[in-house]
Amino acid sequence: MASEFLYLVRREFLSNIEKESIYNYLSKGRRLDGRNLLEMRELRLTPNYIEKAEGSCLAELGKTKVVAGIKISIGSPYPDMPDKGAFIVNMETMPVASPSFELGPPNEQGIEYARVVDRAIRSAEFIKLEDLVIESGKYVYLLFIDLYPLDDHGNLLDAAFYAALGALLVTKIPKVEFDGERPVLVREEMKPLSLNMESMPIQLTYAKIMDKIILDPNYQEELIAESKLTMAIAGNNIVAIQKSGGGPLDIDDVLLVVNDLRSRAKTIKDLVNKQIFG
Amino acid sequence: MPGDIIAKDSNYTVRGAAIIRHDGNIVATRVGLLRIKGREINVIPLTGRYIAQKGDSIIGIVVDYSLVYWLLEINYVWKARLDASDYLKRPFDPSKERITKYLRVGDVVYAKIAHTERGMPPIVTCRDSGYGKLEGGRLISISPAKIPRVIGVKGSMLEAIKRITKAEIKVGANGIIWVRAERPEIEELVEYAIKKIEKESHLSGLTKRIQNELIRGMHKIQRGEWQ
Amino acid sequence: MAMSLKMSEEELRRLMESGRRADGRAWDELRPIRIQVGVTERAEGSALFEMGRTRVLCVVRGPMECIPSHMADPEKAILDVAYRMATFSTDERKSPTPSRREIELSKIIREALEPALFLEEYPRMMIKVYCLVLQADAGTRTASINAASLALAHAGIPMRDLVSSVAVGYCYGRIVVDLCSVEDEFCADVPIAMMPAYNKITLLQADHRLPIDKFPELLEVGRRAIERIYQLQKKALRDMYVSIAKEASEGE
Repeated sequence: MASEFLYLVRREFLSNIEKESIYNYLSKGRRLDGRNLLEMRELRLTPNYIEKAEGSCLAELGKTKVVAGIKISIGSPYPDMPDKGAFIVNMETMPVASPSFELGPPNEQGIEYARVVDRAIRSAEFIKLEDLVIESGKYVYLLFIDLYPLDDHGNLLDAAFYAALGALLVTKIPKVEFDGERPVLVREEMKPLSLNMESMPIQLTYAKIMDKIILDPNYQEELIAESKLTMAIAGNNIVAIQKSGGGPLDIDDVLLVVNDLRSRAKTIKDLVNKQIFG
Repeated sequence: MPGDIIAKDSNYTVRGAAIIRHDGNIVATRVGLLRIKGREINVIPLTGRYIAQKGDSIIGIVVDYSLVYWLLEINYVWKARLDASDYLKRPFDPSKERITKYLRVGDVVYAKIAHTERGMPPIVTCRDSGYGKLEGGRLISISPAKIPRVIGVKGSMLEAIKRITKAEIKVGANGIIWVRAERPEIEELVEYAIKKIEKESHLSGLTKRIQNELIRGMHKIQRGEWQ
Repeated sequence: MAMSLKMSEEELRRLMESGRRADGRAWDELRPIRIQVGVTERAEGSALFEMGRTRVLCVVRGPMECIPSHMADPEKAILDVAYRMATFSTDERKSPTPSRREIELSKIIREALEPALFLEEYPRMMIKVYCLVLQADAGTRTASINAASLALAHAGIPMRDLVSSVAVGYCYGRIVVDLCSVEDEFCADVPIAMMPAYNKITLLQADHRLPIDKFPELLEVGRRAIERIYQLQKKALRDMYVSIAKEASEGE
């Protein structure tokens, strides 16, 4: 039976009674919101949420909402990779999403989340960077993937990841024309971003409370979790892992996560494709 | 709605926190329901935020403390103050005792608003019987505007729930309800009923329907079939 | 992916002199407006306001304790407004660092909202308003004010009136309502905000050039357009609360 917590609009903690309720349910293998230990909330993706962006997607994981917008510009390649385009993932932590975010540059959580999402996409080599070259060694396409949490009900990291994934799947690259020596983007002519679809990363975050591992923690669970483990796989490879939180994990916990993620990856991939491409 | 002119003359008495007199007119300041009874105009705010009034029973969570009092989060603009001497019903000497011996951060308290004043934190009291620390059970949160419906006319709805489920229930005017029953399934049933009241509060015959749901639910629990 | 309408100044002038607007609207026609009150649950008040393709999300927090405490005013609440544009809201990516324009607009929007609020109800407290522009296609400050009014009402902050806002413009002999981005670029742009029930102006700015004797007419055109926006805002609030209202009234 679903139970909605008293979490006041400004609160960042749970009362002792609420904590005990969570613990009691977990010890019986259940969660307060009615989910099983290894059950995700509903994931909904709305591609092209921002028309002006070259690619965008609103991701809703339960009530958690993150929007990703991709903007493209022209820049110089990294000196050691003259034949590859580049991308940067950034997360802004605006107070819109949660009372724990303040105005100003992203806090450490925003930075960590952005870097984990970046890692998953980069290690999977999901974006064909070699197709983003304009002039070898001189000009390449730069992709800015910007993530904006809009409503934090737990597990912003996964919502952000799927928002970025959804946005990449619909991103279009503008054509380039040379105005004398300088390349200029011609936004009226676009072609789809080239992606390694077989290497599409799938990421999930798990939390450990007492001795139980749960999938996709909601806000209250995140508040009392001893530690979290985020993992991404692409094809047959693990492409990113991030353990966060001060509590320890057993090796068995980690293996449980690997196996669960592996068994779910295809279903999630299908879900993503269906939501983006219909 | 804010800005709506309700009456063009001032020969009315005005009640409620969502209404003012301006320039000879009576104007609303919040989204609310208009109630006119004879020469009395009242606007009941719908925007759901709890506004502390003296005499309200509330449920609060200890979030901080000083040497001689605790501060409770009560879903209001300010945190409420609960003095140790009030809670313990005796003088409290901080040099002899530590306040955290009695209530710690995270503890849940059922208290009554003793005093409020604009621009200042309210003071709560636990002196009356039935008030004090709450343990076990679970907390349910609903819109404060629906709390009267959960209590019912002359307390009839609340009495019905208690009677059928034999659960202990304390209702806070600030939208927080505490339930403790013999079994967690019964607590779930009570929560289900309260959420149903919240959703269907505008439909008639609600008390009867809730009673039926509760009786059916109790039977299911006894047979081990409750979901 | 839809792009902003792009036109040269010459093209716009010819179009307008022949009696048409860049996007085909009538002179006093507003762009399509879409409103959603209560879009996030982690704040006391929130609203999403769209005018054409401009889309702004506004979130209100508070009243809450004033931090830093030295900013607290013993007589009234402090209103703190932040206007920010998402990096992907414009044609070229905007750096997330607040620009001088965003800082100016934060102040202007705050001053447009202050007269409508009973800040004296909450001395020593703070009310925070965050406006995030998700998509920018001219009129972001007016959409922000419209969204903020609704978010403040949703949060239950007592208000004298809602604040409604629109940008009126003048170019090539015509007064136009709710400038689109092409018009914004080449016309005199006069954003106005009012408390319509009191007929009071809370925001007024202008740039480019505007003949002095056209100004009173422009203000009147603006006032009428603002009245229409005001009705839409009230309708959005009403729709949101009508079900709650029904429940409360029949439950008595």
